[in-house]
Formats: sequence, C-alpha cells, structure tokens
Amino acid sequence: MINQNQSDNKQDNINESIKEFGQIPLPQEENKNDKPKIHCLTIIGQIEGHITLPPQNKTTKYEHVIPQLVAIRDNDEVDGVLIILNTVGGDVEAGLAIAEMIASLGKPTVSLVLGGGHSIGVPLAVAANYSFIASSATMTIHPVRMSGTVIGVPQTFEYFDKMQDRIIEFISKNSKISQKRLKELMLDTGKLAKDVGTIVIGEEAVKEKIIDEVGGLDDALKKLYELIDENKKLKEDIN
Amino acid sequence: MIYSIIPNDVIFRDLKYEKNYEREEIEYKGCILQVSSYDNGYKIQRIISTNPIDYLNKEIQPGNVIYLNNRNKF
Repeated sequence: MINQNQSDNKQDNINESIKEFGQIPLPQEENKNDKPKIHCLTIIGQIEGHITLPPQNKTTKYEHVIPQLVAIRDNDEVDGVLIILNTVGGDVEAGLAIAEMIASLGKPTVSLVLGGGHSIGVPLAVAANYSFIASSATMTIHPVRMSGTVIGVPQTFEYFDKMQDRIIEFISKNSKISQKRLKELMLDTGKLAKDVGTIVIGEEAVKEKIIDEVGGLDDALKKLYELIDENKKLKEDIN
Repeated sequence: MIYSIIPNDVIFRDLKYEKNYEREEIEYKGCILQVSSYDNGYKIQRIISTNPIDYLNKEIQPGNVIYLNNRNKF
C-alpha cells in the first residue's frame, strides 16, 4: 500500500514538472544501495615526497594519498578503488610507499594509465590487482639519474643500483614482466634520443607484460565491478 | 631521490616572481580543498578526495569562491 502511494506521489511529481517547467525529470537511479561503491584515486603530476617541490609543479602528495588509502581500507562502504594515473614520476620512496599501500589494500583495485605513467608511475600502475592502459598512453622506463653532488666512488654506483633494484623488484613482483627483460628495457640505448631507456606506448606495454590490458574508463570500471563481485562471493563462501 | 622524466633542474627551478601559484589547503565540509586567496574568501583550485561524489558537488567546483566566517583572512 505504501509502495502504491509512493509511486503515485512520484507520478504526481513528474506530472507537476511537465506542467510547470515543460520538462521531464531525468530518471533517478534506483537500487542505489545494491550498487558497489567505488572510490577513485587520481595520481597526477609529480609524486611529491620528502621535499616540498616548487609550486609550479603539479603534485600528488603522499600525506594526502596515504591517509586516503587507509580510510578506504577501513571504510566498509567502499568496495573498490579505481586508480587513475597521469604522472611524470617523482620521489622514489613516496612512489614505492603509495604502490605498496595499493598492493596491500585488501580491496579490489584497478588502475588506468592515461596520458603517461612514467618512471615511478610504472610501479604505481602495476600495484593494482588489474591494470589498464589507454592505447595512446605512454610509459617511460629509464635508469635512476644522478644529480647534485655525486662522489665519484664505486659506492655511489652501488647505491643507485640498489635503488634501481627496489623499483625493478616491485614491478616484476606485481606484473608478469621478468626482472631481466625490465632491466633490458631500462638500459636500452637505442630508443631515446638523449637518454637511456625505453618508451612503451599502449599496446607495447601489454606485449611487454607490464600492463594487463589496453582499455579505457568503461573497461576499467567493468573490470573493477567484476573483481568486487568475485571478492564478495569469496567472502560469502568463507562465511 | 627523484625518479622522473622531468629533469631535476626543471623540477626545482626557482620561480619566485610567480605569485599565481600560491596555494593553501583548507578543510571544508569534510573535504580537503586546495585554494588560493580571493577577495575575503578562497577560490577553489583543486579538490583532494577519493570520493567521486565530491567532484559533482556544485558548491565546491574549481573556480568557485567560498567564504568562511570563522577564519577570515583579513
């Protein structure tokens, strides 16, 4: 009976709207509670770490992102996260910290690389459960560079090599590319005009097994909902 | 240590004369906003949130000016 009244009221409202404004209201989304709730994390510009960058840089700050990820993990209303990447790289420690947080979130995550996911953007892209790249998006894989005062001793080289290994290890652990192949791409001298490294574009990133699939927003969201469904079923089975 | 395709000297370039870039962060209705000073209030430059609904909130669209009673700047 109540339902009958409600639907009558709704029809009245629609009629009123047509009469008063000459407009039919847009259909309201129904069963809102059944739809999984997702949050979206956008990682753009430079990844800002321990040093505040000059303000002309557009940055993603770890002091924003890390608590957001904790809140997402802790909030039962959030079922999954879509990670949108358009980054030129940034701080190694901050990038790896965020990537580890994403990898160990415990909720379904899907990443989508748009425009660019360069340097430290690569570990961020592969950290998600499933990764997409737009066909026009690029990823640059290159060695860690030296800047500032560098002491010309073998230890300096070893230190950079260690830093590089951390990045390589994380990428190979979270994607299907081997450490050997990734190092080959990173140290390639024939691809970049003024630098060592490789640029992979869309399909190539999938061929190199860094990214899972070429796709766009719709593909990424569909995959995320699919993962959320699987996750829910898994939890129900355990219970 | 910076690992980026942008050279370090470009990242750390000193642009002191550019005042347009000055940003402040405020919390407004449970949302972190990056704002610049405008009039007696704040002009919203960027919303920092993972909740997609926040980006549809008309009140906090980038470019909007908000006035906060309790923390007037001047």
